[in-house]
Amino acid sequence: MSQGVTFVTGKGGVGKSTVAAALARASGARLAVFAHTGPSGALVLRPAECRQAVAARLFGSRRLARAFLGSEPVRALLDVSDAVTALVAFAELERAAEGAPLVFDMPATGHALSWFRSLPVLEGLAGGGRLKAFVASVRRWIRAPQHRLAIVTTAESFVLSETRELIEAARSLPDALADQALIVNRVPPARSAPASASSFPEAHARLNDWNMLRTQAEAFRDEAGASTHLLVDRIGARNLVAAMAEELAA
Amino acid sequence: MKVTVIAGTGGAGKTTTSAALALAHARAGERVLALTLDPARRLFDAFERDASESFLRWREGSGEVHLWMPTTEDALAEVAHATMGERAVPFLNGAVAQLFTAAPAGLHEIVLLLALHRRTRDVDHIVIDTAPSAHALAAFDLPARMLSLFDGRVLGMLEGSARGGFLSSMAERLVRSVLERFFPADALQAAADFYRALGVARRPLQRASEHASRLLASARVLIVAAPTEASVRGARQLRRELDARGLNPALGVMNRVREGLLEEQRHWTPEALDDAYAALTAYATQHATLLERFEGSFEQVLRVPHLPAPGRLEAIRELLEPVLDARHRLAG
Repeated sequence: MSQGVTFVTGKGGVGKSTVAAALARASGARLAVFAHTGPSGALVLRPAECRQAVAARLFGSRRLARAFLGSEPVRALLDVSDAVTALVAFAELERAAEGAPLVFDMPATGHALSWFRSLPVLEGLAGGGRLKAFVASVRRWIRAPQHRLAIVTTAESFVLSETRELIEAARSLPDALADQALIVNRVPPARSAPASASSFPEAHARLNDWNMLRTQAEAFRDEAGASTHLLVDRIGARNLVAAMAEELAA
Repeated sequence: MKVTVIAGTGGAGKTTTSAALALAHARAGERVLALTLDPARRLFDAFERDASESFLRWREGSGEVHLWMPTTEDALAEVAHATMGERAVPFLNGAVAQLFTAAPAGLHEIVLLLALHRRTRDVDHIVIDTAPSAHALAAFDLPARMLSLFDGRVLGMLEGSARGGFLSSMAERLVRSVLERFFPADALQAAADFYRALGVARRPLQRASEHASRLLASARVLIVAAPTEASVRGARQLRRELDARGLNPALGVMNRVREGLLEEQRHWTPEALDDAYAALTAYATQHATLLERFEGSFEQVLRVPHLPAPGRLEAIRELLEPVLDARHRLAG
């Protein structure tokens, strides 16, 4: 039986990877990345190896998979589209999730949405037979109720507007995830302006920015609902992931 | 033809910097084409213009800005009509072409680079905004991938025809047998139709790929960062990887710098700043460390101050103008 997977995405630069690592730590899940390398302790799904593994499962033979993927025209075709990449990543993720719950650190907004949108198109293209059945089973797995999508954002206005679009787009995906959580990262602690604001204009301005960000984060939580979590900014913290995980677990 | 590629981590201000750079070059008298390879498509917002059209062109100072941000669908249609004639319509209605519009990442960048060919005739400079981090590197590898896609072997494989000499080896026969056993005939047929249509346009598509390849190989790369740990780390890594490809990004742009903060910090006292002292000091210290680390990685760094949204674009343009010439000298 497959365990739940938390798929983490958001606009570039909001701290997806750090939040994903913290989420994994807080929930006792394993962090998974689809890349050549990853943080220590993470499950690193290497694209080339995953491709081999998926082909071997599909063809029922490792040797056949190697020969097939060794062909240059085949590689030229497969390298072009994120659609095959998405299928391979999701299929291997499903297998890895049989052992333990996972937190999957995904690419940023545009690419992540396109990963989810690829599967129905691939299924349509596959026509019938074994490939179609394979894509369909991966899609069924994604729609299972134990998974959720975690969208990471910061409270800056321009980031929030992209996040709102992402929330809507994610809800209307053909393979929408059962559950959606929102995490506002780098929320400054509430602070009042210093007494001697006139002698320290920069400190005063920074504190004002912080107060405004805090207000925007809270307003966003009110608008977006109970599944919104605010994470305090820990400037210069030594072990950011551990500190964040503690906050998420609370 | 000058080409500038803007790279950097997400949220650093790449797109705003791209827009400001395009404006600065246009004011200096150039005709500048601005486009983004990021499927998130935010370039119109950065220019503070409405995204209802995919192409806008206007006079800017003594030059011009050509702002081009098509959907994948529009760019594909443009490429197909330009290279396939009347076969373009059935091609665009085919099953495989739908993949381009439904799942644009990866394919979006390719289609844009193919369509770029027709957009560069009446401009002097192309400013290319990219998707975050590693995607910028991937963009430089795309033309090579495109060329291998259009070289005919793929069609040979899908058709299984001996004409291309494809069935000559054991390995190729094996691949064909795998395709036939595991992929339904109609899917193979759809893919072969797609490739046959491409085959009609193979020469122009190869030329477009070669054109994109030359443009990217001659590009000057500008790396944008913001003073956060992840952004500076990402920028320095990008610099190393681009150096390894011989692309030497000499100029770094550090956005959202708070110079006043660094100056003022010396006079702060815990009493004057109450409980905010520790947080502010940590912030200012981190700021200083990150600037130093970033500036150690580039021959030249432009510090762009933290600016409020109204007027940010124009302010960055003004800051960029004096370094444009210096940057050209650095790039040879």
